[in-house]
Parts: sequence; C-alpha cells; structure tokens
Amino acid sequence: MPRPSALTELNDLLAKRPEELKQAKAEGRKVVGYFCSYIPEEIIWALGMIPLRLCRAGNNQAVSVGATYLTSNACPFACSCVGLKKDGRDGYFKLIDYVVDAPACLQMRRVLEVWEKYFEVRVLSLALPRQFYSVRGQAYFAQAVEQLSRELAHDQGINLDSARLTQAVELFNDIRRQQRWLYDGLKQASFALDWRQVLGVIRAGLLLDREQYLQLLHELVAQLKSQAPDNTPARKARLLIAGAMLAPGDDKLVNILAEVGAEVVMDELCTGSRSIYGEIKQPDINSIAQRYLSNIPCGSLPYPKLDDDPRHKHLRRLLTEYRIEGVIYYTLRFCDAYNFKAGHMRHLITSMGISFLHISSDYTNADVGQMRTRVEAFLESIQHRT
Amino acid sequence: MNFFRKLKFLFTGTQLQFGLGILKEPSIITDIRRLDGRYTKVSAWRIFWFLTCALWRFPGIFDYKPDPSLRGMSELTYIILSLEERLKKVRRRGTKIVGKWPANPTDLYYGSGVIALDPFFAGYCRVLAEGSGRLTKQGRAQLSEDACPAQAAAYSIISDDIFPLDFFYPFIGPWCYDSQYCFEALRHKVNGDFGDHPVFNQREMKKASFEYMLSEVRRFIEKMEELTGRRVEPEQLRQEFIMENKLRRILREITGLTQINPPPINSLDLMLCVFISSDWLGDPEAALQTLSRIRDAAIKRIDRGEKGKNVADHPIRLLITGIAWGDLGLYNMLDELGGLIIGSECVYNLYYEDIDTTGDPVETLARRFLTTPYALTSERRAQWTVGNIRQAKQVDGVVFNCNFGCNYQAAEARIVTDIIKQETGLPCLITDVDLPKENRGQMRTRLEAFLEMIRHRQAQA
Ligand code: SF4
Ligand code: SF4
Ligand code: SF4
Repeated sequence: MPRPSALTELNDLLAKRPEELKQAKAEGRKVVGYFCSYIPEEIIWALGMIPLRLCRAGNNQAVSVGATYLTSNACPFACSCVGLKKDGRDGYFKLIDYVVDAPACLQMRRVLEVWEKYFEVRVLSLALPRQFYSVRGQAYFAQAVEQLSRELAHDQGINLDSARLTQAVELFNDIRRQQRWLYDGLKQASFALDWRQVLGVIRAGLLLDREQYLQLLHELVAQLKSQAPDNTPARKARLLIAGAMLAPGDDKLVNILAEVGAEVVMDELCTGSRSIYGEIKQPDINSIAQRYLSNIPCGSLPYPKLDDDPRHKHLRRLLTEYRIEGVIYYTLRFCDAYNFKAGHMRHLITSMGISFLHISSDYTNADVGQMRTRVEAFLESIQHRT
Repeated sequence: MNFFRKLKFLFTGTQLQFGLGILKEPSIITDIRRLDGRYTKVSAWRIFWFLTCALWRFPGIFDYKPDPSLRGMSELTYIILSLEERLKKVRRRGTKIVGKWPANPTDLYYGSGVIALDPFFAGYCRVLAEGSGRLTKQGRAQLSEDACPAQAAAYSIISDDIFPLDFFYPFIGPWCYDSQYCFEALRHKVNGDFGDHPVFNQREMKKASFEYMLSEVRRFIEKMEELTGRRVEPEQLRQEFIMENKLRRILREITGLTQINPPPINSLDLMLCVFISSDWLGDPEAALQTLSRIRDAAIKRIDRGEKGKNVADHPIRLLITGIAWGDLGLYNMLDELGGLIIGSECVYNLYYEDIDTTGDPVETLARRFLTTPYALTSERRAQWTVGNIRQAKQVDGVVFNCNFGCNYQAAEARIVTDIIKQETGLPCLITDVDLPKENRGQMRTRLEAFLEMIRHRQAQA
C-alpha cells in the first residue's frame, strides 16, 4: 500500500519546524510552551501566540542531568524536561518565551519550579482543580482559564478578540475531528495506516503550525478516503497501549513491539488518543474550560469511586470498539499516578477476558532484553488463549 | 530477638524503668474519648501490663531507646502502641473513624465528631513496631516498587484491616503525590471521597481558591454529618480549636526546650511528641495529658540542670526538614554522635501556630489549609523555614530528608536547601532513607562527617 504523501509532507514540515519557529520569534511572535494536555491551546493561538507542547523524551543523559535538580526519585520524563532545558540545545526547548503550567501531575509542577529558579523561565499558572468531575471544580476551572487568558492578553498587550477566538475554536475542533477520524479508522483491520503512523500524526500536531497541520490532516484524510482498503489479511492479536504517555523519543517499547511483529491498534495515552475527544460547543471561555476539564481525565487527577471511574468507562468502551485482545499498560518509574493504578487496571481488563501486561520502565536501555522477553511471552499467551 | 534476650531486656532494660516510672505516678490517661461521651481511666497497671505484652507483639521497639526517666514517655509509648485496639474498641461502640493524610488539620475531623486516623503515620508506626519491612514490601507489591515506604505501609494496614476505617476522606493538595494515588488504590477496600485543596492559590486566583476551599470544607462537614447522624455546630469546631491549640502550644514549648542548655529532651523523645500531631493517636485529650506530662517533666529537668538521656553537653543543633526520619533509630544515633534535633519543618509541623478561635470556624479552616507551610511552593516553603531558623536561638545545621520514592520532598530538596544555605549560611545535608534499619552504616558515616564539618566551622569561627 503506497504511503500517503501527506505523511511525507508532515515529516518534512516537522524537520523545518525549529527553524520556522526561530523566524517567527524574530518577527516578534511569542512561543508559549506547556506540558499538560489541560492547557487550552485555543486561547494561546487566538492571542496570536504559538502554542508548543513540550513533549520530548527518551534521552537518558538529560534524565541524569535533571536528577541533579530533582533527585532520581522523580519520573524520567520530569527529569528529562529539566535536563533538556539545562542543556539548552533542544530546538524546541530553547525557543519558548514562557511556560504555562497546569499541575495535573505535581512532579511537573516541581519541574517548573526548577525552571523558574535555575533557568529563569517565566511560568504562568493555570489553576487546575483535582475534582474534574464536580460542578464546583468546573466553575473554578472556568475562572482559572479566564484568569490565564487575561494574563496572556495583558502580556501581548491586546484584548482577546471574540472573532479570533471563534476561529481558534473552529480550528482546534476541526483538528480533533480529523484526528478522531484517523483513530476511528484503526477500528477496521483494513485501514491503510497503522497505529504507529497515526501516533506520529498526533505527535506532529503538538509542534507544527496548527493551521498548516489542519490542512495536512485534511489532505491525509482525503487521500486515505480515496485509497482502496488494505485487505492484507492480518491475524495478529489486537493490542492497546495504555498509560501516561509515550512522548516522542520514548520509543523503546514501540520499537520492541515492531520488532516482534505485534499489532497495536489503539492507545489510551496522553500523547495519543486521549487528547482527541470532546468538542467545544461555543467559542467562549466557559465552553473551552468545560471541554478541557471534562475530557478523558489524566490519571494524575484522582477519582474517589471505583465503580464509576470515568477512565475505566472510557477504557472499557475502547476495548470493545477496537476488539482488543491484550493491553500493555506502560508506565514510567516513579510515576505514582499511573503505577499505583496498575492493580485496578489489571482487574478491570482481565475481568473482561483480555490479557494484561504492566511494564514500568525508564529511558535507559538496561531493560530492553527483559522487556522483549516479557512482550514475547505476553503475545504467546494471547495466541494460546485465542 | 530470642526469648531469653527478651526476658532479660524486660527485667533490666527500658521496659522495667518505664514500668516502675509509671507505677510510681499513677496514670491519668483517658481511654479514647468519644465513646459516646464516656471517659475511661487507664490504670498504671494496665499500661504496665500492656507495654510488657507489647514487647512480645512488637519486637521492633527493642530497637529504639526513648528516655524512660522522662515522665510521660511511657504513656506516650502506650498510646502509640495501643492505637489499634483502642480504635477497634471505639468503633464497636459506633464512633466513626475517618482517614486523613498528614497535612490535613485534625481539628476538622475531631471537630466534626469523628476520630481521625492517618494511615501514613499509623502504618509507619506499625512497621517500626513490627521491626520488619513486611508491610512496606507488601504494599509495594500492590502499589509500585517505587512507592514511598510510609505510603506502602499505609496501604497495607488498611487493605489488611489492621486498622479500621469507616470512611476515607483526606484532603488532597499540593503535597505528597503518593498519598492521593494510595487513597485511590484503596477504593476497592474502603468508601471515600476527597477534599480538593487548590494547588495555585496565590495572586489573582486567591479569592476563587479560597471560595473553592471553603466549599470543600463545607462538603466535608456535610459528609461527616451524614456519617454520624449529628449536626456539626460551629461552636463544636471552635471548642476543638481551643482544645487543639493547647496541644499545639505544648508542642511548641517542648520544641523550644531544645534551645536550652543543657537540653532536657533528646531527639527521639522530641520527635515522638511531634509525630503524634498527625492525628493525635485517635485521642487529642489523652495526647494533651501525655504531652503536658512530658513538658512538665522536661521543665523540671531544666530546674535541676539535668539533660535528656544521651544528649551531648554541647550538642550540634539540627533542624530537620523535608520529611522527618521515620527510622527512629536514627535519632538515637544522632544523639550518640553529639547532635540534637531541635524541631522539624515537615508535614508533622501542624503545630506551628494556633488556629484563630475568633472568626467563622469554617472559614478559618479553609484559610488554614491554604496557608499550611508544607503546601506552599518550594521557594515559599524555604523562606518560611529560613524565617524559623532566624527566630530560633541556636541552629547549627539543617538536614533535608527524603524518603525513597517520595517525589514530592526529593524534587524540592535542592531548591529548599540552596535557599537556606544562601539566606542563612547554614550547612545543609540531604539524606534519603527507605526501610527502617537499612543504610544505618552509611547514615552514621554521613552524619558523623556532617557534624564534624560543623564543629570544624565553629572552631574556626
Ligand atoms: S499524562 Fe497527565 S500529567 Fe502527564 S502530561 Fe499528560 S495530562 Fe499532564
Ligand atoms: S504523569 Fe507520570 S509520567 Fe507524567 S510527568 Fe507525571 S510522573 Fe511523569
Ligand atoms: S514521604 Fe513523601 S511520598 Fe511519603 S508520604 Fe511523605 S510526602 Fe508522601
């Protein structure tokens, strides 16, 4: 099956992006970095700034540097964010004017404290409540988003223009719509893209110019719609990867899965499908806040009741719709938010008759061999079952 | 420890001194207080007998050496070790036990008519009393191998029904990461909810955060009313503030005694007193009687010019921050090496100031949450500690301790110690500990070197 040209274009654009950003900055545009998917990009974009999700990982050297600030008790992603900033060479990290912090994961809050103190980065805060599900939490978050947009607007020396906000809401809604279409495609065995390619598309969206990105998404979708389905009979176990994130660069597991010929068809990850849901109904702050807070919640926000945990509901739906036979729950070491949930996850998934494997790792290569063996054994056990 | 060693210990060691001490001055400790308003006296014999039996159940306590000659320490040991049985008893009579986490103000729980239990503190006490890492290891097998030892133990004591909980209602805020997920991991075991303590409550979000916090405190109270079937009157909360302010004042007084020469209380005894502020061991009134005794006994020592057991004549005075060492043996070790803990700026420091008893109690509590030093940003927490150091007469150094697996403390260790060093010029030592008794050799070397460095500096000055 020919590779859609839009994918190649996407990669070309990505390669040019740091240079393009440098130029945009030289022209006076501000680059606003952020980590968590709770930051409403719409507002940043509507104010004429460039939103950039700082999602780079996998570099163990950066982890070691970061650990001199955070100690080695912090998760490798958090450490690498500090390490990369300190190192100063990363094409994206060095370009940001300031960072907006929504502390879903409190480890990331510490990262920004370090950035503020030692690297003199300006940090704006978005007060994210833990109770993403309550009316009070929702009202509080709306105030926080309002406050953030005021601060950003003040910084830009402009007012948030409602026409521009409408445009932003349409743009980002459409991006998510196209991304959903791609993920929906993965439900069919004959879909022309595989999950890894879809993940690549989503990851690109964290960095590229959003209008250009949307245009490419439309092209890609059009190309895929016009292509004949891929009817190569695929009979491998359908897998889903769940967990916190697989940030660009953290490719150890994905590479092993490719090497052993496993077929991942879906993810439930912050850097993957979790960010594609939810429409903003109205171009106003309340609706924007509502979409972000009521989206599929990040595991960093606790939920008090096991029997109606919205994360479980969502996962159950994905498992059924994507006809999943095995789940790999991938977490980073020292990520309590996700590691502590492994027990309930295992119970939820195995009670549906689906195989479950928990892998907790870091960015070193020390466990590659062991990880491969575990993945192989897992796949074998699924084959046996089926 | 084998049978004969235990026996020998029993009749020659600390236990006998404890026992004799307590028999000499009969106890006035009450049993858990909220037994439908009834108070039970616990006789001196009962405490003596309990502690004697406890030696068999809790071999871990052989490892720690509180000062038996300091009046009140045996009662303190009693209320720590008898927590499990006292809670079970009170629960059978219908009183509700509600789980909290360390930084949550106890006044809110007791003032709402329930007994507060901090599984973090109870779990770690249990680990120490058992003298093995069994509960931590078991908890880690369920949570994560990287879980902090205290959180892992907290998980185990609840999931194994060692300590009873009717409801788990902690407030979750900008402290300890593990605790919120440990709470979540126990959802299959115990019903619960949590109060949301906003992370950013400064500047422009101050008002909104305060209102949000206020609504969270109100929601908690409503839930407690539902649980107990009794209305929580503002006066009840106010009375609780008055009562617990007494406790806080006594703890500040005891801490202040470490500034006197020679210090009448050693590091371990001081920290045992401080630790119980986490939940007052199910019984603030018993805690008050016990701590008053300890304070009075220590003051008498000052009059006699007597110092605490094992305290050096001119100890190197250290403030402990981060999270105070859970491995109690380290306090004994520090005293032996000529150091002395003079206080802690950590999650146990809930006694730093009184709670205002004049305003609306619910608003007061909301404000208290938002201003707890432990919940501030690293920078502000460090500045707060600097302020305390400046107020103290004698501080020679600072220890910042992190528990293995604790992302919260560890991640701010550098910022906090850098600021302290810069602002006060005091030397800081960052330590990390995991299971009790592990790493003692290495810790001894590090503490020795740290104390030596301070002595050297002092000699040069
Ligand atoms: S997984 Fe959660 S904490 Fe981590 S980046 Fe995503 S939203 Fe933030
Ligand atoms: S959610 Fe987990 S993986 Fe993500 S930054 Fe926090 S600790 Fe790290
Ligand atoms: S030591 Fe750290 S992880 Fe453990 S309970 Fe305290 S703050 Fe939480």
